[in-house]
Amino acid sequence: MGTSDGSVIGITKVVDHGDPALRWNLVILGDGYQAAQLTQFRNDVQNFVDVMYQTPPYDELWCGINIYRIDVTSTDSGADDPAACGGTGATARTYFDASFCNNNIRRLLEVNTTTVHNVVNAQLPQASMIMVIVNSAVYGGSGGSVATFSLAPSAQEIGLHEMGHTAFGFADEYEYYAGCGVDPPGTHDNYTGSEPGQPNITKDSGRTTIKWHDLVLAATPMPTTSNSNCAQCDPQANPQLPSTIGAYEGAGYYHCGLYRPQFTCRMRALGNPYCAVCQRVIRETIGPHMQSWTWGTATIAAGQTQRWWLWWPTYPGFEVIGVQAMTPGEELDFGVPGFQRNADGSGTMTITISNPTAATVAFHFRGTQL
Amino acid sequence: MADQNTARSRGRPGPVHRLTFDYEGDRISLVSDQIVNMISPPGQPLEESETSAGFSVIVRDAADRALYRRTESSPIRSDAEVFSDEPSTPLHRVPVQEPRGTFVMLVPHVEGAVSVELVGPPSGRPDRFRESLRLARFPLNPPQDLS
Repeated sequence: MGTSDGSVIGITKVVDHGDPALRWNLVILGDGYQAAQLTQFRNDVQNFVDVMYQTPPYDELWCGINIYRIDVTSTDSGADDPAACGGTGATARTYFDASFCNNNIRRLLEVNTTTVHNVVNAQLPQASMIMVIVNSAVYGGSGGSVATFSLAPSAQEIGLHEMGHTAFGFADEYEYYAGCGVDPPGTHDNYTGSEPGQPNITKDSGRTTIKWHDLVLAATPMPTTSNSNCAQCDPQANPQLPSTIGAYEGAGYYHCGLYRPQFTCRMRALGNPYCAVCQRVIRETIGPHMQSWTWGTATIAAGQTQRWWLWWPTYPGFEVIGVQAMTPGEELDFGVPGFQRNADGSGTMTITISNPTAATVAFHFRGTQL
Repeated sequence: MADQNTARSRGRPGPVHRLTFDYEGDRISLVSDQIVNMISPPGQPLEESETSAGFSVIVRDAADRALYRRTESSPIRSDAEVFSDEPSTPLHRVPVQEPRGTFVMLVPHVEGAVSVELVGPPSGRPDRFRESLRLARFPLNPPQDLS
């Protein structure tokens, strides 16, 4: 089975924001789709695109993203589902050799990554991230250099989680390896290594030194949670608001000694939003791919006003700046934006933001050209 | 009132090495070095990441100075993430019996760059943050033809 069991039909840009040299390019391929099923594949891709479009912060970065679909046919439909893992025993001759039961685990669905990279390198060498949708209703997926997931309900969450690893370098934020109560005693109790390079976990819970210290409010205890029994996963409920950013003990496969920024995150358990730290890294990565992009995080002290200006080199149009208060319950006042066309054809926009509240308000902002 | 200029330098495309690697266990080979015109992924401050644990890709000059470094999840799969649909066994990891596969790294062609180095934990080490070693080093092609 392999490349003799199908063919590459071609590449189609399904989300088009311009030159791939400028944009962050997601490439989605399919495996186990027969020629007559390519319309279904197109719908499956669109379904993932729709999910991604509604997933913060991709929604606000959308103008920096291109998405491509590569149509690939296979001789057979589906994927191998070996009976040894409790599967149906089906075998399918597919272009990328999709199979469940890798490592004798049924849900571990993998494809031949060498073949995938060969196809993508030839079709779109500017690819930033690669996914493969496997035409099977059995739940499964895998990560690594190619995120792979099936058509089972909620399997798209696998794609979003693995994109966190592959495209943005996120660590897993769960505090076990094989499972809570499953890991051999003592193997995942206390982390004693050096500082992890990933942006979303840390061994440093210091208020002023933690990687994401600028996002921690003064009232937040640090560490925010501590595991009282490092021999097991921390069973305590979140003592803070879900949005509170701090240092929650238990991350990176260790019960103690490593901290995560928020109590929940998509990198800790599927179905959650990305935490604020992960979202910031995604913005930092995709932000430079937005036209005339400008973005960042800032604070305004109580009773103060800030005036911001943004400049575009040309003026085919612009999208209104999105400014979103990050502190629950606080509201900012926005003045009427001003715009002027400059003599060189560029445009300058001004926006005035006031903070009428009694506390400092943090917010993030973006601006882009359509 | 404070005026602040929020306009930042625009992301500009440039020559980027699209490096495709094959690996089997700890043996890594560079199978292609495509020069592509695109915006490269952002790197990390060199001084901050030199002592970090985890997997990094480093671009070096002839004097062995790091010019670009990015830390990320290891693309060399010594273990695999399992996505169970059983609530009692959520996301978890299992060791991979025979680590092998292909991965791609995007690094900018920085002035003076001569090599790319992969640094990370050896395969088969679940304590992935404890020890990072040089896994492989390869010369970089000079950018000539942009695809």
